[in-house]
Amino acid sequence: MAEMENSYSGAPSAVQGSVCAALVSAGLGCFVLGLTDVLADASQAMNKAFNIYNPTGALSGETTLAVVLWLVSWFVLERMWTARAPKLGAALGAALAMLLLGLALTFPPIVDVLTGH
Amino acid sequence: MQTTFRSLVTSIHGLLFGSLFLIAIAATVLELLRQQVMVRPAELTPLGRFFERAAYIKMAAFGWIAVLLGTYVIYPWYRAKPPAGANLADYPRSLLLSSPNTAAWHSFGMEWKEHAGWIAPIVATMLAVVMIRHAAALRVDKRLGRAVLTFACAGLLATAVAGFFGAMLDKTAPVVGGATYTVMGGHHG
Repeated sequence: MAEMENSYSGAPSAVQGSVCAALVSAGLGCFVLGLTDVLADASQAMNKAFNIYNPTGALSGETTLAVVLWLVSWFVLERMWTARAPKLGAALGAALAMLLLGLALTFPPIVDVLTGH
Repeated sequence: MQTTFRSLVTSIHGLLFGSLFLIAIAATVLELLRQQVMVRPAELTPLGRFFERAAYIKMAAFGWIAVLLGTYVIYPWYRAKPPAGANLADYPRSLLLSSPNTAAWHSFGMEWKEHAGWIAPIVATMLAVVMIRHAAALRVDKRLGRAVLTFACAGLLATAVAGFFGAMLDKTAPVVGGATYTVMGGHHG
C-alpha cells in the first residue's frame, strides 16, 4: 500500500474511471430527481405519469425513475470507464454540475419560478 | 404515557434511522476532510478496516430505510385526503394548508424535504462504495477526494434539510392515528 501511494501522484486510470463513474452517475440521479420534480409540478399529464403508486403520488415515479437511471448509468459508466478513464476534469465538472442543479431543482422557490406558480 | 402506531413509525423513521443516518454521513464528511489534510495516510488494522467498511454500509442502509419508510409508509398518511367533516388533526397536510400561518410548512418545507431527502441515500450509497473500494486512491489523489467530499457535503445538506423539516412538520402537524399503545401509567398532579 505504502509503495503504491508513493509511486504516483494520481490514482491509476482504472480507479479514476471507477470513481468518476460513481460520481457522474450519482450526479445524474440527483439531477433527474430535481428535473422530474419540476416536470411533475409544471404539467398535470407528467404528474399523472409519475404517479405509479397512488398513496405516495407523483413522488413514487419521480424517485423510481431517478434511482433506476442512477443505477443503470453507474453500471454502464463503470464498465466503460474502468476500461478507459474519461478526462478527469470534465467528468468531475459534469458530476458536480448535475449534483448542484439537482439540489437547486428541488428547492421550492426555484421550482415555482420555473413552473410559473 | 401513550403513543399511536403512526406516531411510533414516524419516530422510528426520523428519530432512529434519520438521526443515525445524519450522524453517519456527518462522520463521513469529517473523515473525507481529514484525508484532505493528512500529512501521511493512516494505515488501519484488518479489524479497523472491517469496522470502517461496516460503518459505510450501515450509513447507506440507514439512509435507505429512513427514506423508504418516509416515502411509502408515512407520506401516504401525511397526504391522505380527509372525508367531509373529518377532524383535520388526523390529516397533517390538510391541517397545514387550512391556515395561511402554517401552509408554508407544507408548500415549502414538505415539498423540499420529500425531494431533497432522496438525494441523501443516493449520495450515501455512492460514498459507501467508493470509500470501501477506493479508499487508498482517494487519499492519494486529492482531486478525487475533493470531488467525493463535495458530494458528501451535498448529502449532509440534503439530510439536514430533510431532518429539520421532518422535525418541524411533526411538531406543527404530527402524523398520528392507528392503534394506541399505553407504555406506562401515570398519576395526575
